[in-house]
Amino acid sequence: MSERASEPSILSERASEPSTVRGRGDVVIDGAYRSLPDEVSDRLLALCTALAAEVWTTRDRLRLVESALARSDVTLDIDGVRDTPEQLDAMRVDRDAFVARVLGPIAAPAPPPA
Amino acid sequence: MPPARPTHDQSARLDFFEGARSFTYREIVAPLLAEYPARAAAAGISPSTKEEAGALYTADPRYLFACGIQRNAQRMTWHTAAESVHRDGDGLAGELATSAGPGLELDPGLELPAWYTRHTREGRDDIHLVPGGYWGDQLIGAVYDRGGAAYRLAWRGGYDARPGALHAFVRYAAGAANPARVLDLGCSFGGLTRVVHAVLPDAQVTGIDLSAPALTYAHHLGPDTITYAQRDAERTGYPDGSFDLVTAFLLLHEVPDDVRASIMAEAFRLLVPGGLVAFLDIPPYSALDPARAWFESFDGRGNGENYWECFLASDFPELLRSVGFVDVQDGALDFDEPDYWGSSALWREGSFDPVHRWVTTAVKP
Repeated sequence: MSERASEPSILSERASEPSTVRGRGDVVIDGAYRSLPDEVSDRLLALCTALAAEVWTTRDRLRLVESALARSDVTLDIDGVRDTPEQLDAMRVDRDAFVARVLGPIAAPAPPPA
Repeated sequence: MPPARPTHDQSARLDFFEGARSFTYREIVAPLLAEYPARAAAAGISPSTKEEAGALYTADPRYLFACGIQRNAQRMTWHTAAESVHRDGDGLAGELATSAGPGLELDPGLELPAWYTRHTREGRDDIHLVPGGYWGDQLIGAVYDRGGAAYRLAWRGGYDARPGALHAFVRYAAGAANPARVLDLGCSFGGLTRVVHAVLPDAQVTGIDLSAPALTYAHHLGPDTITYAQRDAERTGYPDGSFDLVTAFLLLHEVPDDVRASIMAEAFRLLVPGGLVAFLDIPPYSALDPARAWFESFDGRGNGENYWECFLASDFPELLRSVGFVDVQDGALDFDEPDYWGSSALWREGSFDPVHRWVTTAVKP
């Protein structure tokens, strides 16, 4: 469970329940409340919200890295960099966590009837 | 030279698509299939067809999203694979242009059949959603090499990284006969052909395909002891009894019914008496429960597999018998590979099932 578990879900009125999808997502589809008129659109909104958060987080991290490199007068040929096997393994862990956060809203079991 | 290494962003996209599809299989498809008995019970039905089973899913948002993610990831994977291969396209094209010579027999006069080019020309989904189909891109062999590996959820390892199942298939097909002349139909960029050569190093191995670009890339990969020839499997032009073993890997579901029948008749003609045909392909619907058959049928609706439905719904063993073959056998390949998830686009449950590799063999009396 992440530290974000205590944050209220954007879609659930039952914020006291765990806001995870199979223990990994930040957004849940677990109640009768609908932000949008239908379940498909609601899930898409949740997916887009999660994706936007991920994109912004990455952009902000990249901004910091580029800023630090510029101060150090370092240029980097990013396409020429090769990951080590250990780095690839770590990347896959991060990738799977990312995917679970973004796609979690559409994998959640259907909510019970209102 | 191999295709250009993808840029960082291309690599990251391919990694993402693999991760997204893995998640979809594990967290959506597998639970949906596990729910099948309960869904049928709740609906008060006992489906006998895949359509009846499908009706239990088609309004479920999770199913709809799984289909959508599969299709979008498939499209974007192939486009990224093509983009990355074309990154240094001139260099690879130059290499391929100089690779002509012994072992590569192209036929510039070969007319590509309408069923093969129709989907691209009419703006319909290309086969597997690959831009340009098998024939419209001069670097299609390299695109298939990279994109095919991504489809297998292992693009960083490459298409040929885990050939164990193909080795097992060829060993099974060859048996104790030790065939001297092998023809691989619809060989594309030589995925199976290279394995036939590796398992049967003393055999004379020939791969044929309609696609000159795919054959050129296959020849480029080598070894040059394999002959790659641009020929139509319906009418190869080889003399009667030219081969002891005829194989095909993932070809049968790519052709219309009448073409498949013609190819089988041609294979029968090409074999010596006692010769064998051996195919590794997608399992027929009849081998699956209705729910799995429904998920497998997605390829025909959403993955550009225009001849998927007609093949999987057909009685292929009966077709073989109708052209004269005997001792027709089919079933799952006995080869354990826990991290292999299958060949169908959507029907993958995140765990290994031998039925994903369906083998059919028959003998010419």
